[in-house]
Amino acid sequence: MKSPALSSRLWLLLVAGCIIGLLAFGVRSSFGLFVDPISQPNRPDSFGFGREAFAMALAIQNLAWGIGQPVAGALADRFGPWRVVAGGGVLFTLGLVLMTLTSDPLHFNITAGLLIGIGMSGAGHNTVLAAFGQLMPPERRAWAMGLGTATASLGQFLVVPIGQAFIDAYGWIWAVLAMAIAIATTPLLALALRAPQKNEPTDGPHSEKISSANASVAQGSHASADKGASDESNARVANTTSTATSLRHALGQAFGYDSYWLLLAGFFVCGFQLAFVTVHLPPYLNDVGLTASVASWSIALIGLFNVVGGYMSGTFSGRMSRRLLLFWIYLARAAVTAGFMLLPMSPATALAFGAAMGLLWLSTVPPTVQLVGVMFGNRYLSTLFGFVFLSHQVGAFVGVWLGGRIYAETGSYNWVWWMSVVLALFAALVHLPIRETLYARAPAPSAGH
Amino acid sequence: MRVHQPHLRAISLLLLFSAVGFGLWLWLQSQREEPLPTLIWAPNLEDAVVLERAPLILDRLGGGWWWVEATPFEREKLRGLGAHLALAVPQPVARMAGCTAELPRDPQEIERLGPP
Repeated sequence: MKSPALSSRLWLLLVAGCIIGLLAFGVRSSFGLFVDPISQPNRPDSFGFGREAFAMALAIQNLAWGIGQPVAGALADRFGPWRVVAGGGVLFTLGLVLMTLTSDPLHFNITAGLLIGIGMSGAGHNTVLAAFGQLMPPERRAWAMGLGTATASLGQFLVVPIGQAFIDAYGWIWAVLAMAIAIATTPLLALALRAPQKNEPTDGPHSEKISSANASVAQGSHASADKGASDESNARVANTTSTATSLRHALGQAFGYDSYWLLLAGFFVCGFQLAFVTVHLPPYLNDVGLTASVASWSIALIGLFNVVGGYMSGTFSGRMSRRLLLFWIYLARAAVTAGFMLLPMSPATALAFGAAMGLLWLSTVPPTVQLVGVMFGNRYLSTLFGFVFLSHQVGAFVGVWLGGRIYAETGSYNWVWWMSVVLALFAALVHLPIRETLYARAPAPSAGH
Repeated sequence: MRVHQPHLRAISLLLLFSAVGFGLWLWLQSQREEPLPTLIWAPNLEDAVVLERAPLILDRLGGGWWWVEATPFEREKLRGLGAHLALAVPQPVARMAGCTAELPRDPQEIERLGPP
């Protein structure tokens, strides 16, 4: 691929965003390592309140993350993503530090659950991807989102073993504090996510677009909302495609648009599958007679191939129809899951499943974020993608809960695996009717929305 | 108009992150108190010195390269003796790197066999 060079300013933005995503996603993926060291009694420095109390804190964390994402998105659209990432980083750090001190379940739910969950919604890769969608030049958005997704995936692959190594070497408290130190860098890194100032010299071709976009914003209907706040207007760089004139108007447009609902439905399935596989694949492999080592390698392969899949998906989604890309990704997930069920189980089958699912894992993210941008413009991208992500988290909750419930009822995961195949086919099909065009300029809310 | 290959930079960035992460992981493993396979490079030390002073010998690669099993304290001692490198390597990675010996070998037996 040859394309105009990015300015050093935009490269800095890209690298800082990638590091933020890597750290946040990696730390978030490491919480499973702390279950026993923190919750099991008779361990050094353990709080000893049991797995159930720890699981409750993680459930609250995921819920807070999901619900907090649209709120964080709205704040990012209003005040600029860098402020939200910085604020989220502070809360995330605070949650990590305080969770080493809160030894009773109630306070642990507040620190490890609520604070970290809200912090992740601000300082997570979702906010970063939306920022890329708003701040990168249009011809580089898809690629930047692919790279952002790939680095977040790499975070999952790298930070989990590093977290375990920290626990082995220094104990869980120092491991959490080391993660807190890493996350504490995000407010600093967030400074790079500020949109280039109107008159800031940039050496790339995007500088012209920025100036013209700012000029358009200043002259357009958004000008009244700016009130001289340069950061806010900068956050609207290249946001001129939105037809909504306010957040309320944008939400009215989105939730009154059938294509947006189809996108929500598809991403619900994504959350269902990812959470189900993450939580229930190891015990399933154990049930069918494979070793714990095969299970851990399968999960590791998901992480490794996820890096490749995320990057490729970003690249492809800049070149082809996003709805068709999503159709093929979900169709492939259905085929891979069905093959996993039908083929004779062996270590090779489990490892091949891990690699194939890894390629399809977060590859749904770049085309989904971009579809939101294509349909509604970038002005309220963070908020509107935040709601899509909330749907993902609800799917994740259902996937984990239903997997455990059906296993408890039937003693097998087979029903859930086949349900996952059917849902993947459903998700593939719902993307076909999505209208991959900008939402038609609609009248203001008072005149009909 | 300047053009460049963004894939090359993107892959370089991913490899850089991976290298930093892998390096951090190796360093953390080396901080563990329990003995770990350790790659020694001590071309300036006589074999007899290594055999006498090193903890459990796992393998001898020749050219001053050895696999031993050592704690952080023992690695420090080896560095003090003049070893240029004493790098703790987690068990699975050590095996992938060629340290296949499951059990420590007798130093006298190694001396009798000589270099591979």
